[in-house]
Amino acid sequence: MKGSIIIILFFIFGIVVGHYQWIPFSLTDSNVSFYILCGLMYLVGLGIGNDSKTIKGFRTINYRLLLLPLATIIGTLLGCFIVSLFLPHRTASTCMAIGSGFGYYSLSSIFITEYKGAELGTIALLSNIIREIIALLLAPFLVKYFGKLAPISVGGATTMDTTLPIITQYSGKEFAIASIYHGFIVDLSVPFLVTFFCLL
Amino acid sequence: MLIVIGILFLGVITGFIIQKRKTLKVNLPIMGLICSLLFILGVEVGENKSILQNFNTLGIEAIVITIGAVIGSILFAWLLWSFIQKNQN
Repeated sequence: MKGSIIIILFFIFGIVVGHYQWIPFSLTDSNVSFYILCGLMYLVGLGIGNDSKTIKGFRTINYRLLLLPLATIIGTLLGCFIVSLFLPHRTASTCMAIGSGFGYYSLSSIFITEYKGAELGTIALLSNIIREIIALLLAPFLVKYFGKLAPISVGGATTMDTTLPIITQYSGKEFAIASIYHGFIVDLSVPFLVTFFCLL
Repeated sequence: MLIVIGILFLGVITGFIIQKRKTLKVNLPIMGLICSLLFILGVEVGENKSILQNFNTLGIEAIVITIGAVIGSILFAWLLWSFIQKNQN
């Protein structure tokens, strides 16, 4: 939990720095974040490969875990459908299109802007960023009260990369394979589902 | 994206090979890099005037939709987890 608070503080600090432009050069145009992600992925890989429990997890992956992407997709779409009942000016299909980003904010917002305009594109961007942040910050809380699969499901399409480290940290390294598999499947579904609900 | 997955597996293989020789303490560096990435994401958000200006109106809608999506995900993940655990006991 302490880790999550530290992470959010860094995020807020980043917003402040970005807003007041304290950094002369552009962090976002350069490839800095890509290189850091690569470094992070390497370390996460080291941690997984080094841990003897993980290899065991690979052999004994419960075949029911293969259902996890389906649980995420159905759960998300159902949740968005119900929420649309409280947003009278937004149709169910619009809300489900936004939900179909599953945290993949860059691709989903581009698609939605294309089909439905910049306003909805921005909502999609914000919604999916918030989803990823929720996964990153609330992972320990989710594991404690809702089981070890909860942060993976909330992480959605990001569980292959961005949220993988936090998942291995709090759900356990033995869920790394399930997390990557889950992220891969959900990631693939994003363009299809977003397009489907935009055209509905 | 594929490069990133490739690097992950490179790390896994390396970590596996080293397994006999050394147990690595990667948790702290991992936390450090996660913080760095979130910092950069924050900078991205902070620099984008469009996002900051519209945050009030659009933000509330986004939060509502996200809460719906997240609660739905949590519910089904919880059900699946309970289902898996029941069958293991």
